[in-house]
Amino acid sequence: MKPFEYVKPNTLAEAISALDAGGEDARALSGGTDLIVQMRAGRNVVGNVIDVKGVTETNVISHSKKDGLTIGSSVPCYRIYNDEGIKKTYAGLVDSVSIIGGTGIQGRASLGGNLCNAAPSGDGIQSLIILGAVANVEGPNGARQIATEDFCTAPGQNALNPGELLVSLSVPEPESNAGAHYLRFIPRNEMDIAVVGVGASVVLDAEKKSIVSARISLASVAPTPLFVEAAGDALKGTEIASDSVEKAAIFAQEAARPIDDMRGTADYRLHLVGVLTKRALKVAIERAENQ
Amino acid sequence: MISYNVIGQPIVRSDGFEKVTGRAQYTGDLKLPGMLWGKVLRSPFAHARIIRVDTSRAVGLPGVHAVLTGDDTRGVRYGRRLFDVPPLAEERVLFAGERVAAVAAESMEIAQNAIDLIEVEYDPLPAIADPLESMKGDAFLLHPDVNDYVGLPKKLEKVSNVFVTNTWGKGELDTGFAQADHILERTYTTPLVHQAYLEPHSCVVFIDEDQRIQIWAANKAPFALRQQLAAAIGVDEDRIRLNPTYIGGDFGGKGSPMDVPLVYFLALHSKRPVRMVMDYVEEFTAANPRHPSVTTVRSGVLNDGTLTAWEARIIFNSGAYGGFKPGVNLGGARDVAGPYKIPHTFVEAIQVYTNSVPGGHMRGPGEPQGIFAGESHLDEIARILGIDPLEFRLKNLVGEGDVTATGSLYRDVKAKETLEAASMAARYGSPLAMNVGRGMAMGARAPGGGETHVGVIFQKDGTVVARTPILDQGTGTYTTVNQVVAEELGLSSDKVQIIPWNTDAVSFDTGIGGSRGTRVASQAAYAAAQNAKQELLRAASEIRGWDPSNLVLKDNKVYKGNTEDYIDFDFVVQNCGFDIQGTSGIEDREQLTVTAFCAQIAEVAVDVETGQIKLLRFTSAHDVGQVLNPIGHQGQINGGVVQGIGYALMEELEVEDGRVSNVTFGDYKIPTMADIPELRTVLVQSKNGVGPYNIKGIGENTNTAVAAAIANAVEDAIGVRVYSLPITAEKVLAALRESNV
Amino acid sequence: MAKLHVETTINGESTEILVDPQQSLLETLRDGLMLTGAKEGCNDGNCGACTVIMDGRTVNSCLVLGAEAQDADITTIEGLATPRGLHPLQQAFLENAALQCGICTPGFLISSKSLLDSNPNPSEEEVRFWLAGNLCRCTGYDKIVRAVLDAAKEMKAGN
Repeated sequence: MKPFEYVKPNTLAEAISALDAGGEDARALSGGTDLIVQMRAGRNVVGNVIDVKGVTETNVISHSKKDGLTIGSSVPCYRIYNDEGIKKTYAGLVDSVSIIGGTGIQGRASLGGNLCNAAPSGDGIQSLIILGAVANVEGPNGARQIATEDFCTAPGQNALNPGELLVSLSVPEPESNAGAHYLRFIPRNEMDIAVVGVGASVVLDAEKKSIVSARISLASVAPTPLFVEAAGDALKGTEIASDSVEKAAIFAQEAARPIDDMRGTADYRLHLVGVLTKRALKVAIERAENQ
Repeated sequence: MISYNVIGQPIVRSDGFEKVTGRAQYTGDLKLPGMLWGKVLRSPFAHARIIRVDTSRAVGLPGVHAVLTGDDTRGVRYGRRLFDVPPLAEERVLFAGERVAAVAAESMEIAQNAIDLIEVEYDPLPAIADPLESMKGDAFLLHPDVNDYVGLPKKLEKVSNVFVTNTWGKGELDTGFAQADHILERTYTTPLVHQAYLEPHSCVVFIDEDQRIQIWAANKAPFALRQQLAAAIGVDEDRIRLNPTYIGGDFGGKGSPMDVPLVYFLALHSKRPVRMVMDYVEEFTAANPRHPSVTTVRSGVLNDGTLTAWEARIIFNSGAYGGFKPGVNLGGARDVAGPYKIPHTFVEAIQVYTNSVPGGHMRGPGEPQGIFAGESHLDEIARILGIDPLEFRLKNLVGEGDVTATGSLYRDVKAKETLEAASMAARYGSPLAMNVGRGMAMGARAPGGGETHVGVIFQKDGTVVARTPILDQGTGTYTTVNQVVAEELGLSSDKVQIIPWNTDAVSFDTGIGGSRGTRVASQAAYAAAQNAKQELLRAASEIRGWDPSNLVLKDNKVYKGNTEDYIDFDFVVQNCGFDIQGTSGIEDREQLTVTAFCAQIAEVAVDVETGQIKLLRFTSAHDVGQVLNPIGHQGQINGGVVQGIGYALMEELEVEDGRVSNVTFGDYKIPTMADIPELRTVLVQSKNGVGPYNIKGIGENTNTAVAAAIANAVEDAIGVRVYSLPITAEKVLAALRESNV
Repeated sequence: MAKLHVETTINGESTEILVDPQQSLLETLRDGLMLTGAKEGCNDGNCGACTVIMDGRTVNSCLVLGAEAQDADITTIEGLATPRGLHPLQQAFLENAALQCGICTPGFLISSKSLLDSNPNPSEEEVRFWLAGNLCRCTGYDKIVRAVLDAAKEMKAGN
């Protein structure tokens, strides 16, 4: 690895001022499971590493009916999937954070880091998008919120300006009769990168017969995680027993822009988008029905 | 059955304690005073002319002690038998990843910085990655001087990129095909795969004050390495010493000199010990992976399922060099014709140079490629004829007195028994759910021959030290030696300590490989123990004045015949006035009539929407001699099967523009613990075997038939066949779609 | 760049070390502290050979900076056995022949320890998924699963 300066601020203000001082040359370090790999491989040249794990705000998990769920950007995956409240209310989030890497990775890797890394395959990002999560960002010019579907701008690129820090993620409390699921296709059973991933969330009406709203997001089929609004819209107001799931799958396929690479061809990925969208929706609906 | 006390018992590995405590020292753990880090600059091009290498900035970097280019190693070629590999490229680079320059520096970081400061100007040339293209008459020559290379088995009449050809066969092919009711021709391909030992290649070279070349290397054939290095650099073998070290996995891949000749030159120029450890990107890009193959099989068969003719041609992509295989070609290719009694056969295996990473040995070299083709082919014929694949195989398998398709005659042939045992254990024929299928495949392998030595030295505390020149790369040879010595001296296993020898100690050892470890080491350990025992009895007789011809060693005591009169053996050792020891040298290269059969049955479920294969169960049947250590034996079976599963379903080094593109364990997928199905094993006892305990080998047989069994199970499940490994979900889905058209 | 002064606890002993900012915890352990039990396999978090326990969680020490070890409590393979003898996991690995070449063994033992620390009674499925980040190319994994389950049983009986 190329040499760099390492600092570990204790407060949010210190962290932002260190990031601001470093400018383009600075990167925030949380779990490091992407950043350190990239720096070692020379794909990411960083002059100032700001370890933000000492900042209180990046380490919180708070959950209330009123405010929903807040997860600090440095909270590692294992804390999320071991949290009883999250397990009960946010199954669609647990789906993804429990399959990012193996146990050793989950001991360090954070959901916030997964988002900032902005990989098209990022499993956690899809869950955030379908749950309507927003990113809470602070920088030298103050605080702002970014919808998670707008956060990733290109492979490895995000909407943060130099000096800005992703502090936490806010996930709204699910409405009643809501369900969500994320699944991915991988060649192995564990420790893998999505060939295609699909996240789906639905809200059912009081009778649990028709769909009030839905959100669908796709991994590994575009330069960024892909929120497919049209697919969710296609489900709005339809009965769960109808063929609307098939239609949503077609919308998802139409939105997907996969490429050929070593993990699969574009054709195969498009096919998987269809299969996985239906499967994700089926589980999301089942979860909603069981609410 | 002879009853044993230590042989056949689940004895704890001799190296176990050091390994579970983290104390076991591997080459990468070694630190010598003043040791430098070596690092290599590699070609980004699959084929290019080197116009200029400017090392001046690297040379000037503080902490750099040597910077070498092809000029510094000019004319040197090395290999395991064919000497065609240069330590550093001279005029041309022949594959992406080839070494172009090297440095030795005081830290890894300085070494890397120095590498970054070397400027190389290349003139990129057209590259040939496809062996079928490279074989054509108008292809450019990768090695115009191939006929001048040391170790080429046979000079080429016309120089081409095809540098070695081996053939096997019998009868008259034309006759066999003329008799046939059906003729089937199919082509099969297998990918470039990595051995995926988790310890990358590493070595330390140090030229000491006596001008001895001291080496520690992750290499499982140190005596061969000594010969190869001596011949390559032109020094006497006696100047070179390979020192023992643990080896973190091998699977055939740790038998090449790899970077040792280069690091010798770095040590020579820097006058310091130099350590070089490949990183795993280098491993995936530029080590010595299993050869990809293209195999065409043409067979003739009668309506009743009798095979009459079998013609096969295996084209191995050797990559840019042929130096990383000790046989120059891969003899396992002949197994494409299997243990079947086919009267008219011809099998041809060729090696072709291409601009890609050089191939090396991996677990049953040539066999997994050949058996995937041959056993896939057999299954397809059976299905075309409407004969159950089990019945079809039983009809054609060799029995006692039958000669195999490529001319081998074995005794105590257990081929059918092994297949039937697998079939029973797998409940072959029992009902299956929708899209679930079973498939089988067979392999056979005799343990290889070789030479080794063992020393047994009694210690004054009542224990015994056993010395071996073999380095245990994980397969358990130390434990084999331990158990044999303990058995023959009537001791418990924990009283025998293994201390490996360096290469000064004995004349030669063939090294581990070819499933020879147990065959050769058990005989040497047996002989050394017997010699040591005779010495002990002689010493006891001298102390007591007993008749040496009538003494018995039992329970740590030497008894006078069948009397109750005894002397404790540690008393003998302490008081005889000399060291009691026995040594042995065994050279056993006999072509055996012993072989070991393996039959494997996979049960898979296919998700027809995605094409994904889920392996439900995997059954292995092996015909075995005396199993020396059941838990070690089982480990070889499970480990081989799991490697076979990876080969079948997920492993492939993908090459784009001549470069390996999947260079991490995230993208080069090997099975994890979560991918392993229920593994069933059934052993068929054979009376036949080698050496004092009637043993057979188990190292390679376990992984060679797995892929074919899985391919056959997929066809059984969904009626489509995939002819190329790995059988990915995408290929299955494509085959399904094609069949529905 | 200036070296950083790091105070940490390794295998129960307070330790002060100087590290370069870019030095990984793995390099710090192996080169600085001569604790060579943790191995460098892939150096990118995919093989698990470098696994250590850091503040109660398994981590890939190749993906942790030495500087991040400040105030941490780290257990490596060298700290698994006690003066009274081997850890039950080490014993179970020996008895089940759950190791061959040994290069992955320290990582497996450490990951297994953290599993049993947090889940003393794991199912076979839980063992398989917990340890999926540790690659082994020799054993075929089955004997490792048996060893971990045996050790769990043994530790329960011992308590």
